[in-house]
Amino acid sequence: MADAHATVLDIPRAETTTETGRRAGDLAQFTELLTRHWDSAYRYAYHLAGNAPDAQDLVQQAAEEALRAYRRFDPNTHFDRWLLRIIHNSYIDKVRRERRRPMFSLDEIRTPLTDTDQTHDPEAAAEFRLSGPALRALMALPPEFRAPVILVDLEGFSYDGAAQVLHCPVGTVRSRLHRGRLALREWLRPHLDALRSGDG
Amino acid sequence: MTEAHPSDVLSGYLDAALSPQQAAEVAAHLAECESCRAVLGDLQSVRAVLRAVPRPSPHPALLPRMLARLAAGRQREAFLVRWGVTVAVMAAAAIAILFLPLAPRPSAAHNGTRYFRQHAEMTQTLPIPDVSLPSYLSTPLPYHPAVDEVREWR
Ligand SMILES: [Zn+2]
Repeated sequence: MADAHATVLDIPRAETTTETGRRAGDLAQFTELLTRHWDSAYRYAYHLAGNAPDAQDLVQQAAEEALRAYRRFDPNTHFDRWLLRIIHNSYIDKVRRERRRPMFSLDEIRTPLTDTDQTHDPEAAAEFRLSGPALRALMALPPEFRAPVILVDLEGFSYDGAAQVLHCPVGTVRSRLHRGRLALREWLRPHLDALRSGDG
Repeated sequence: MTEAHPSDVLSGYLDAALSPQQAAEVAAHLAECESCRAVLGDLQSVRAVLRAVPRPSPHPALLPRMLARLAAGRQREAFLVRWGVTVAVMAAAAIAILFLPLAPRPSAAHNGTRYFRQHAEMTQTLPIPDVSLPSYLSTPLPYHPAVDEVREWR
C-alpha cells in the first residue's frame, strides 16, 4: 500500500523531469536551427517589410511563434521554409490588420514607375530605406507577387521551396514570379537598357 | 508558329523549371520568334539585377538577444509548471495578507461576550444537546464577519 502510494506520487514527478528535459532538448535544437537560418529569415522579413525595424519585429515575433509551435515541426522537412512561412503569414496578417500598405492590382502596377512616382511619397521612400531602383520597384510589387520574387531571385529558393513557404501550388509560384518579373521589367526598363548598352 | 507565344512559361524556361518536353517546345519557339527572345533577354536582365540586390544583415545583437529571451521564456515556463501550485498558494496568501486587515472584525474586548451570545443564539435556533460549554469554548467558532453585526458590537 505504501509502495503503491509512492508510485502514484513518483510518476508525475518522473514525467515532469522528462518533460523538462525534452523541452530543454527542444530549445537546444531549435536554437541551432534558428541560428543557422537567422540571416535568411531576417532578409526575407526585411524585403517583405521594407525596413529594418519592422523586419526585426517580424523576425522576432516569428521566432517566438516558431518555438511555441516547434513540436509540430517535422524534423524531416526544411526548417527554413517552415520559419519563412511563419514570417510570411505574420506579415500578411499585419498588412491586413493595418491596411497601411495599399493593395494594387497588376494592371495598376504595369504603369511605369516614373521619377515623379518615386518622389511623390518621400516619407514612405525614406521609411523603406531601400537602396537602388530595383529595391524600390520590388517594394512596389504587391506582396503576393513580391514574395515569390524575393524567395527565388533574392534568396535562391527553388520553385518547390517557394511553394512550401507560400503554401501554394508550384504553378502559382511560377506564374506569380513571372508576372512579378514582367512588372519589374517595365519599371526598370531604363536601367535595364543602360545595363545592356553599357558593359554591365 | 509565332501565333502561340509561350509567354507564361518563359520565366520557368529561364529557371530550368519546366519539364524536358515543355522546355524543348519553348526552345523550338524561341529559335523562330524574335519577340519572345527579347522578352527572355529582359527577364534574364531582371533576374540578374535582383540577384545583385545587396543582402541586408540583421543587427549582430539581434540573434543573441532573441535567444536569451527564448531561453528565459522557457525557464519561466518550466518554473511555472514546477512551482505553479506554490505560486498559486503564495499568491492567495499574499492576497489574504493584503486584504485581511481590511476585513471588519470585532475588537478583542468583545470577543468573550460574543462567544456566549453566539452560543446562546445557536443553541436556540439549532439545539445540540451534547455541546457542553467547556468544549464549546475550547474550540474556535466559525466566525463569519458581517458588517452590521460587527458595528453592533463596537
Ligand atoms: Zn514568341
